[in-house]
Amino acid sequence: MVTALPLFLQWLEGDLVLLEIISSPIDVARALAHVRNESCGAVSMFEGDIRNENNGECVVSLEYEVYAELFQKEVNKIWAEIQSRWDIHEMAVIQRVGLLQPGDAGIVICLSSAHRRDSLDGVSYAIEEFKKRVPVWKKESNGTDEKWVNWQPQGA
Amino acid sequence: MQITIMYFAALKDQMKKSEDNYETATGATPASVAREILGFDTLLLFAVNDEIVARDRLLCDGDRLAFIPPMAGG
Repeated sequence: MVTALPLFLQWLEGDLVLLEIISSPIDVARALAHVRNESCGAVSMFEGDIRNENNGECVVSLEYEVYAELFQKEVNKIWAEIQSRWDIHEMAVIQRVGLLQPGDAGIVICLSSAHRRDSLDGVSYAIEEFKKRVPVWKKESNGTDEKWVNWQPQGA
Repeated sequence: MQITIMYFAALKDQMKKSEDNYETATGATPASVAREILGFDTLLLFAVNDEIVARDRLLCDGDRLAFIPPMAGG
């Protein structure tokens, strides 16, 4: 097993949140283990994987980049929002950076709760907010050309 | 006054650097500095000292200004 060396690592509120940004493959079992608790009957997870095509174009690799300090702050805000809306026990977020290939996981978000609806709704909210607010960028390569996802070059 | 500019993703590629020191005038804002350096301020969000700020927030000496291109997480 590859040992993850975090580029950025944070625990919040007595280990209730695990937050890592790493350049090695995501250890899903580690994220799940972090949120499991005897008081929780539900663990819900979102894993964002690299697809081999996007908008009809072949994808050979994706290069992930993050703004770590702002990433941390936005995740903390999202965690506070989740706690205010659902009865969530713990959260784990592991974000991978660097060069990824199809089939690799780019992000894993895990939540635990006493009952399933809280963690299911919470993890759905989390990934939707991540996509809008957390500073992560992807450079997509089809083997010949590269482009940053969601970016159109601007004229000077 | 002097500020630090942080570039990410497409802007880092375009500028061929991730960070730079920049001298700008009192009264400068994130949007005005983006126009000075990049030639545009559309599509971007701005962070100052690791907090998202309004594009017309006044900058202070020593601030770290990040130009944030459209995000693509998940």
